[in-house]
Amino acid sequence: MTDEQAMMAVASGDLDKAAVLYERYKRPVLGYFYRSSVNRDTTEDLMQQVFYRIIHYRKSFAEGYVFKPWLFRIARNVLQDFVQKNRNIFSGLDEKMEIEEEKSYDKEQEYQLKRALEKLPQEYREVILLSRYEELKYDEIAEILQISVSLVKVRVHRGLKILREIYFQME
Amino acid sequence: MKNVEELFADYLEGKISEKELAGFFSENPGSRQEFEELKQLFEELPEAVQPEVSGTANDNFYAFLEGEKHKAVPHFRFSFREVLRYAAMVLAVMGAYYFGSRKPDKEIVTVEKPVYITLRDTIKVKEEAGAGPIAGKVARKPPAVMEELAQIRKEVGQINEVQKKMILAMLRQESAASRLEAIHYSYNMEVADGVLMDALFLALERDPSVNVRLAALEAVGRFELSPVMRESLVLTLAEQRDPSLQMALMAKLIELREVKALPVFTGIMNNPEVSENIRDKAEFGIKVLNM
Repeated sequence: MTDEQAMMAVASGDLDKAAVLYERYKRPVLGYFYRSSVNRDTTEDLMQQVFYRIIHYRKSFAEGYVFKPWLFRIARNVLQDFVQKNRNIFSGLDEKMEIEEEKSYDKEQEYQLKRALEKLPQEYREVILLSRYEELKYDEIAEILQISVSLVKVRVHRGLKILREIYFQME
Repeated sequence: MKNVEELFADYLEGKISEKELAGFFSENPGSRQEFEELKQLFEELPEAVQPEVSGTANDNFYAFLEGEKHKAVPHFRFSFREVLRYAAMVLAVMGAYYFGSRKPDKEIVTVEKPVYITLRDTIKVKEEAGAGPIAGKVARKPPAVMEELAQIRKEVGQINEVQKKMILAMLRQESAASRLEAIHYSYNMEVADGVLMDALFLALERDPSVNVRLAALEAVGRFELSPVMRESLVLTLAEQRDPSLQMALMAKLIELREVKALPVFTGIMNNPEVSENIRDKAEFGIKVLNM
């Protein structure tokens, strides 16, 4: 069963199929928040909110939609709402997380690159994350961000250029 | 010819051939070094970490799913007792038809079929043209049938009243689950009176749980909303800060084509503190309401 078939079943009332989608995407969605510099304690809450919204707004999923970009659009909305609500406390990594993170990267270079990614302005970082880690196509990213495909490509290129500068400055 | 930005992005997505790449660099030799550096950087980005989901998060999701499945099951609009009452009512009507259609005694032979029966407790008896002493008049139903119908209506009303009191009491419970259940019970009410609607609107505006407020919105949305109630929805939207509720309220007001919501939609659209998707929805609502 494809993602779209499962989601159409959910939309028409077969809620058991939501469990199929949850099992397929719980880790990628959690990883998305994890890579978006959300505090580790909060990532699971946000991941759950995404699936709550999918079920709550299930009837808005229509024939012809592609599930993955639709899912990540919801995830992005959840992230934006969270950042909006917690603007004063949302300042990237906390100290505890940094220590945990450091342990999980074997190479110093990888760790520095991750830190550089976190310092990248949001509009560039999100296209790189969605492209590199969520393996979404540019047209899907364009749909999620509600921008043109050309702009997605520009942001990928400029984002990497800025990332390179940040990385060299950190070195 | 593609520019370097497009070329690079297409290369990362595997949409560009080596030949096209070589052709581009032969015409733009200066951009090759940057291209190679960015390509290397992209390849060196750390591998995707897929964190494990805790058992608690899984339990929460499946508990939520069970709750939603329960909510999604279609519920009968009447209790078993109500069904019995309505069945009795149908029997009474059939009985009335039977009595009305029986061949009458010679003294009242002027009355003939068909007998039209309505639930407004009258039986219109059509009389043969120019015949009989009650021609053109409306005859009352037999007293026994009338009493039965009145009794049934009274009891149905009492059941609805009991249901309503139960819902109101549950809406005052401390547990959000009980308040959600109360809203769920309200779906058994075919007609909402002022007291029930007030309680649902109060839950929509003031309940500490977003889920209860969302459920209350769905519940009130089932009924025909008076202008005052529509205005309450607009005021609620103006006060709410929860994004999911803002989205749901805007969707409802757009569906209702409530033009009085326009100033609130405009305020939301122009509020930089509101998230982008909410502002987009408000902008969309303004377009629809101005159509």
